[in-house]
Parts: sequence; C-alpha cells; structure tokens
Amino acid sequence: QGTQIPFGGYEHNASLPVEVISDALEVDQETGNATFVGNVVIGQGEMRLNASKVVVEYKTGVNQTGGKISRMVASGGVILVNGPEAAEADEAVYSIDNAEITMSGNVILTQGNNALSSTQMVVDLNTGRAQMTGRVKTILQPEN
Amino acid sequence: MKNNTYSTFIFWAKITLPLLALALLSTVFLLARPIDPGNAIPFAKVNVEELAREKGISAPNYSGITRDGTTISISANSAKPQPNGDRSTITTEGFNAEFELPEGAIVTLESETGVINTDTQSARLEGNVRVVSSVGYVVRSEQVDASISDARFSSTVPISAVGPGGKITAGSMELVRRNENYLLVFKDGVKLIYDPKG
Repeated sequence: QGTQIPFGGYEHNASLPVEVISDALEVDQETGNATFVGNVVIGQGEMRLNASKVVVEYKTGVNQTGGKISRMVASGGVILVNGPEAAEADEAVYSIDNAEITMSGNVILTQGNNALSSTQMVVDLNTGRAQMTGRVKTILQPEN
Repeated sequence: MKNNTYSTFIFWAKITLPLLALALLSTVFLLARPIDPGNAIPFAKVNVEELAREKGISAPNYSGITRDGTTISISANSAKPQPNGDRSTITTEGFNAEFELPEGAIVTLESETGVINTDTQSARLEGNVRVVSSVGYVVRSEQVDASISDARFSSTVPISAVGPGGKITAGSMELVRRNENYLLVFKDGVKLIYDPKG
C-alpha cells in the first residue's frame, strides 16, 4: 500500500536532455566512475534534483563506455523540486529511462503548507504521481 | 658437283647471323631510353643550409618510468633548442605524450607545439590540445601544462570534453592522484549535457 500523491506537472518528458551542473566532476581513470561533487543540480524539463554528491551509473555496468546513463545516485541533503512540489531526503536514485526517482531516508514532502514524511518515496515523473511508503505521517496546518 | 645446299646455307648464315647480332646490339644502345644519371640517387629536397645552421633533431622521443610505475613516453615531430642559447628550454612541433598509469589506464596528450623545460621537468602544450583517456573521455583545451617526470597535467583554461555520459564543459581540468587512484578532475563550473535519445 502506501500513500498516492500527485507530484509535479504531468507533461514531464523523459527524453528531454538531462543537464547536470556541479562544482567538480571526478572521473576515476581506472574504473571510469564519474562522480559530481559540490552543489550538484540535475535538471530535466521542470524537474530539479539538488544534492551534494551524484554518482553516475552507465547502462552497461558502472564504467563501460556504453554512452548510456542508466542511473544517477544522489546523496547528501537531496532536494527534489518538480513544479509546485518539493521533497527532501537523504538519498535519491534517478533512473532516467523509466523517469523514476526513488528517495529514501527521512523523506519530507511539502505541498503548500501541508507536509508528509515517510522513510521512502517513489516519484513517477511521467504520471506525476508519488508513492510514499514506510511510516507515512501527515502534518496538516490548520487554517487559522 | 652436286648442288650442295648445305654449303650455301652455311655461306648465307655466316653473313645474316652477324648482321642480326649487330642489329640486336644496337637496339640496346641506340634505341634505349636516355639514362639520366641525375635521378639515379633520390635525395631529400630540404634546405640544407637551414638544417646545417640550426641545431635540432627530428622525431625525437623519450620514455621513462616514474616511482609509482607510470610509464611516460614523449615524442614530437621535431625539437629545437632556444635560439638564445637557454639550455633548459626546448620547443617542439607536433608534441605527443602518453602516460600509462599503474593500473593500465592510458592517457595521451597531443598538441601542435610543446615547450619543454628540463629544469622543471614540465612541458607547456599549446595549439588545439587533445587529451584522450582510455575510459572514454576526449578533452579539448587551448593550453595544458604537463609534467614529464610523473603523471600530472592540468589545463587552467576552459575545456570542452566528450565522455560516456555526454558533452562536458568546465573552467579547468587536471589529472590528480588521490591515494593510489588517478582521477581526471573537472572544476570551475562543470556542466554535463546527456541526451537520452542521442
């Protein structure tokens, strides 16, 4: 089960170019691992994922030069913004092709002045729906 | 006397055969292509005076191994010492350096010119410098400073690169060694653009 919540606009297009900016990018010359470090922002369409560190994983294994990125593992104070909604978590995994972001570790989702928290949240960018699982708590601000 | 055909045959043969030999001999000399002794020996059309006046070597190459096991091989099309007699600087055309890192990764640097300073054991590469790394990165810069005694180089001017993940632009780039690992680090405003469709 889990709580279904709308998250972000519906017109997310998973084939848009993905842009990553950061202070530094380190590429291990033996394994080929690419790690973005420092104020990393992953952007695609409306979606922005901020983190302090992002490790890039390629389709054919971690470092083969297949040229296709399969996942980006973001960690260190991850903030996901997609349209009006924003969510915070310790870690997030963005798999580009199926346009899914899995956030884990004290996830806090804010919508307007309501907030929901849980241990894990999966956002499907295409349908604009998020599923929160694991001790979901809702904090409603009474209209005073 | 019976008509001795054999003798007459021999009589005529003695005349025609030498004539035929003469004709054959003449074709060897008279009709043969004129031989130009000049182009018998091909020689390079190089300005000999210039070569004699300027000291310089062509296709120099040098290789060595660093303390941590990186093999470095440097080559160039030509190398000339400084005209003002400064012994420690050598200017090279068509500079190429290859670093084979301990774990087997290979990084090569190429540029149009490379000024090697033997005192500081470093070289300044200029003129569409290309850095190719065996993990699939091709980095372009206008100027790279590289060490020639261990695997270290850096570009303080902006670079553009193409990697497995897509196109990268950054303000600077350097190869650093961090506890046994060699990392190619891009800095000062890194931007990667990955096109899922591409």
